[in-house]
Amino acid sequence: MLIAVLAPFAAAGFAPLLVRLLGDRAGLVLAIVPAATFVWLLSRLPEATPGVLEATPWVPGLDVALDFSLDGLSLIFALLISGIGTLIVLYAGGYLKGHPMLGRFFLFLMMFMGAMQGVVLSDNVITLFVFWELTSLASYLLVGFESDRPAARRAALQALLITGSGGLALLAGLVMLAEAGGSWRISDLTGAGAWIQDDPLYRPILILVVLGCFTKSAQWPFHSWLPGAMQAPTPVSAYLHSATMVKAGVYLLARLDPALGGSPEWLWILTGIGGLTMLMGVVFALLETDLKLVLAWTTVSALGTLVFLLGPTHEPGVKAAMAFLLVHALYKGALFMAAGNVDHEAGTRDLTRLGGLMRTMPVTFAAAAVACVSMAGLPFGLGWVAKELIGAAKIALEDEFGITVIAATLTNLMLFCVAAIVATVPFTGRTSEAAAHAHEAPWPMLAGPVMLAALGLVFGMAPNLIAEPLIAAATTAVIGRKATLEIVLFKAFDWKFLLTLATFVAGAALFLLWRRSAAGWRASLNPVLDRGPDRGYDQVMRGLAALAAWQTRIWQPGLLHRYMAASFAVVTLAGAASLTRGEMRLNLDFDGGRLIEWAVFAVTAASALVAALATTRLLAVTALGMLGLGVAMIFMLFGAPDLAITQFMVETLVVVILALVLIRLPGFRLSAGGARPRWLYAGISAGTGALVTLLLLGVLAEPFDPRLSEWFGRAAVPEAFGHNIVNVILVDFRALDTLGEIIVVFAAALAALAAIGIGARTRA
Amino acid sequence: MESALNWHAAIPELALACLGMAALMLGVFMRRGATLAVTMFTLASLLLVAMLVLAADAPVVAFDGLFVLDAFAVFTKVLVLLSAALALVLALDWNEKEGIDRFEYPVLVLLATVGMMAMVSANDLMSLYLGLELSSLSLYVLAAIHRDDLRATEAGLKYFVLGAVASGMLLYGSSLVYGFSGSTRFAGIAAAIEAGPASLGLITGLCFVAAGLAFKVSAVPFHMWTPDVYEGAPTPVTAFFSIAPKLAAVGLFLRVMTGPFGEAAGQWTQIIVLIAIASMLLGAFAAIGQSNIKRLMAYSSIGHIGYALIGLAAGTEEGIRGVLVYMAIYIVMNAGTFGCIVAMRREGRASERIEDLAGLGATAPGLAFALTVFMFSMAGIPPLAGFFGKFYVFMAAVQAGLWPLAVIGVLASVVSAFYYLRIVKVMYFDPAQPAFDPRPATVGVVVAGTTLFTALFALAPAPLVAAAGTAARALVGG
Amino acid sequence: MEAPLALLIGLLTGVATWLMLSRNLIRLLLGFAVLGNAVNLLIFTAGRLTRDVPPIVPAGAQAIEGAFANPLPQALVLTAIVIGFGLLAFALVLAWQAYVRLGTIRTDEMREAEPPEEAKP
Repeated sequence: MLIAVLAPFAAAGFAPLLVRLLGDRAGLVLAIVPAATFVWLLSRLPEATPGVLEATPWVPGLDVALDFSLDGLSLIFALLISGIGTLIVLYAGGYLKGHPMLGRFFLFLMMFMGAMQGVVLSDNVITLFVFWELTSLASYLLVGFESDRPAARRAALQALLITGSGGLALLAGLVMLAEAGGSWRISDLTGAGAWIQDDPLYRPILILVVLGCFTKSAQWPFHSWLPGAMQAPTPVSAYLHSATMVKAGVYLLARLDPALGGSPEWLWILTGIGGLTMLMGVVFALLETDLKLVLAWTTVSALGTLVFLLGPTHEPGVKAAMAFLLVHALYKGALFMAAGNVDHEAGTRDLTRLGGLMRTMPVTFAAAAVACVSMAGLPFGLGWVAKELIGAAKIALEDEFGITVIAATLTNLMLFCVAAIVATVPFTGRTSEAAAHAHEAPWPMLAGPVMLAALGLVFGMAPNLIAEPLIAAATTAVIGRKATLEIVLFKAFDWKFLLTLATFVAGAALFLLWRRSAAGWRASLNPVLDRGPDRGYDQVMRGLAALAAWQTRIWQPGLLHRYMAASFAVVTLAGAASLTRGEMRLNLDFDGGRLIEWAVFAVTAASALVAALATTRLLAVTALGMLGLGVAMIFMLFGAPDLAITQFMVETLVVVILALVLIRLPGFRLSAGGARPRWLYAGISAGTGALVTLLLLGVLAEPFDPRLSEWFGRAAVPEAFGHNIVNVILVDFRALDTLGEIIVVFAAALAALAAIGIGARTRA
Repeated sequence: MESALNWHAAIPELALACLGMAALMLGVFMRRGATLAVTMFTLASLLLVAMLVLAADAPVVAFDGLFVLDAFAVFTKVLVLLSAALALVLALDWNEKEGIDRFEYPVLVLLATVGMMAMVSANDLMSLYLGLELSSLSLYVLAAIHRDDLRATEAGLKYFVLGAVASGMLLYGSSLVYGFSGSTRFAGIAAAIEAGPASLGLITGLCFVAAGLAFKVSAVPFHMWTPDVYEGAPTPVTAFFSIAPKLAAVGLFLRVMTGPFGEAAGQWTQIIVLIAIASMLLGAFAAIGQSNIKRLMAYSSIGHIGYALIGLAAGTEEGIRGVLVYMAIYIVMNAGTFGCIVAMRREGRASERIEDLAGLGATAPGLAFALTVFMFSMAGIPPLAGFFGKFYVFMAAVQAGLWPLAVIGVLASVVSAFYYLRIVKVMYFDPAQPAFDPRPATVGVVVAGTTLFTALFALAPAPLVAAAGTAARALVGG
Repeated sequence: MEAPLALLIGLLTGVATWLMLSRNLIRLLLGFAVLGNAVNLLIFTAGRLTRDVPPIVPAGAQAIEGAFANPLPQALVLTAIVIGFGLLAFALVLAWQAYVRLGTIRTDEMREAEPPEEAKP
């Protein structure tokens, strides 16, 4: 299975080279990869029902391995990915014939294929997530492929942001799920359903996972990216945005159904949102004029239907979902490719400008018509079978959800109408101007739609070919016990049958009505409906930019004094906050000072204050000198003559250098640009000073641990043969520091020289 | 009291310092081509010292406990040396074209590196301060090395002032800690905390130390120098700033918090959580409005520090490992990104606006591809390396029960993805600008190497993670 | 005498902060100088004070007898003084250079990186 996943990636790497060597025929070669995968998957059909596992170690230390599993559910998806993938690769070779970036296109497409296989075959939540995001990424690159159009750029970004953020929510949900279920392996998690649902984290997990799935599968209110993504080249729309990627969300919901499903929350969220999306999609489809957008909105609707069917977590629902999944992939794939042919050959896909293509493009028309039979749910199409199963699922629900039955019936009715539109409007009637010069598409572009449409027909007539091996097997994987399925095409002539017939009639009536007044509907409804999430997306984006600008203005004005003030304020506040968390003893012993000590302190304090308030250079420098002198005196008074001497020398040097520099800075006034806002800054300064005082008083109240000092006193002579302990410490016990100190001074000198040197050269 | 000298543990540092002197001599006495020669010499020195570091037998405590060489120090030092070398290579061509190809440049980089190595091996508050000052001083000069650029002068000044304030805070904190614990040795401080009653004042002292360190890693709210300095400094210097000192400071941060203050973890975890959250959010939101790519990278780096600190907040061995993996990947991505920025020259002038990248996908597909990989990776999109970095720290947070932190981290990545992707969008989708000047081979090599690492890390994450795991065990493991 | 010294150090710190919050580069540097002194005193005081007895082992003796000033902070302060001096000297050079290039010592006029208005010169 690892090979099945990695092969497309390898092929992706070679794709640009192949295109360079073979030109447009590269597609034929590349198609071998998915075709081989498809055949291999078919050969694994018998093993799939119990499910098989494979593992390869990967991310060390976190138990994340490349675990793959193949069961009925994975198989049905994997077959779709590789099967339709084969046709799409063939199709794209024709559709993008001679495109200068064909190599890059195949690279992305194959990359996507591998990632998508990875999603449906992974048995590890993290591996699944990695592949999941990779599909979003590939989608981004493919949607934005024709990047010279602004609409394509916006759509690509929107798609990536929505599905990407959903993906991260999913990651959070999956990680929590793994914590709650105690394993990274999906096959373990699905066995731990009862346990997980008792976990206090169940609701957050559910919401996060559902967010991920809904964004990916374009459920309301995250659906707006999908119609936008129709900016992509048609093979991409057909493959990613109807047959495979958008179904990843559905896949994951089905996959996690045993772990998360069955609760009221699950039921309400999935049924509610799914139903709403289902209805909304098909209504919007009726209002579109762009053939691809019509199809896109029905895809939204179909995804809603799938989610809706997974809501109740019972066998008929799952069976119906699996059947509908297959049906939809077949007919929608065919229709998208047919629409692509129309666009490619007639140069437009605007329904109001198309007509009469039946004569020039008979094969495309035939394929589209057959696919529409399936879409409309007419007998002999596979859609009929799915519809029967959906009907059965809904009846099982009826007592609780009367309203959903109505919604589903309405959807059916309108879907019938859309099918009629797609099958007839571009192809029948008077030959429009755009259609006049159209030709039939070349064979690689026909193979896909014809084959998919034909399969729909074949399976529609002999549904038991797929009922047991695919649909029942997938259902078994979801519900966790053996499911069987035997499909009878026509059961009985009862009220259900009558309802179906009534739907067809009403759908046909709606179609006639649509022909007459669609333009009027669009004019009156579009201004009302055409906003919502899509506009919301724009607003969020604008809000983000405004927020960013605002915070930069506040926090990053480029003013040094503000940065300093903020830093001091934060440290002082944090320190003060930390002090409030307990009690600290303070040393408040102010007695016993000698007169000379008090005098030195007073002089030092006074010179500090003078330095703070000085308005002339001379006064400031003098005050600084006095301050340094005072500090030196303090060192002297408390047993540190070495320090006193050093301090005295350094202070003298500082004063001299400062004076020198100040002389070289003409025309400035020390008073200019003081601290302002004055009171705020004074407050910060006072606070900082007070905190330091307080802490030091706290330090001084604690008994000092003299061992280290005493050790120095004992060890200085015997170990280092020195009598001045300070010197011994510097050159012996802390020799490394002293060495470091020397290097620092050296660096400072070098730095100063470099700075001066640079300055000198500038003036030269 | 460990009284063994064990000076051999510091051979790499000593050797590098000596080589630095030699490089300086070489520069002074050679007239023509001095810069190239000194740069090559410095590169060779960095390489040699990296090998010395790898060859040293850790763990050793040296200089009476001032200095420690353990697996953590080895890991961090090797990365620091690597970063310095990468930044130096990026500077080669750029400095020449900008007329700042002075031999002092490599020497200063080398000196800064000595300081950083000393930082990550520091086992005493004073040694820590010294290492920090040594590296900072060299960095201040590097920031201002561009002689005619007003922005660079301003950047150097701001960096110095704020950096010095940070050092001051660190020193204040260290003195208070010393006052409360009676020792500057990390082991002594840890013992004092374990003994107990003085811990309140000690923790407040720690606030100052943490603030100083937060400055150096440019975590919110001490990040403010970062955008101005990143934008103002010459691009290769910014590249250097964004990787080597940052890594060293993170290493130091980890060692200080888990070493001497490890026993007080309950007290500082909250501080780190707050800093991490603020950094992630600011990094995410502030970058959105930027039009200068270096400034954007500054905010980006602030955000990345936020993510890395998540691992520290977790405080566990997994958390520390997460930080190390994160930083290692971050360094590679950042070096690569700056390689791309260095390559942004048009008609002999450096350009740094994001809109200058427009149409790069058509004019320079290779460069555009590389930058795309880096941007996606920084956004944390799998399967690129950046995803794994985030993954390890988030997982550590989750395992430590810090759910909210992980969730905010994820949200911040969503927002930050927005601006990373904007760059990709500009490159591929916006109408093309004239092509950039041909990029020098040196830059090409750095970009290609880092791209390969970032793109293919997923294939073999084990070696790096194992090394980071060993390093983390040395720090917090039993 | 330790408590009054703590007050003095607090005062010095406050003064240093006040000076550093100024928009005048020279006042800022004065602030640095004051801060350096405050830190040195802080380290010194944190090691506790002992009057008049320097940490010097009398000639001929093997160890010092009785109470003596704590030598370790003295060694640290020596290091700090020297480094502080190096930094200050470098800072002065930097300020001078900034003045020569930017023509001002007002930090609020140094806004090349983030100009107050959109338009850059």
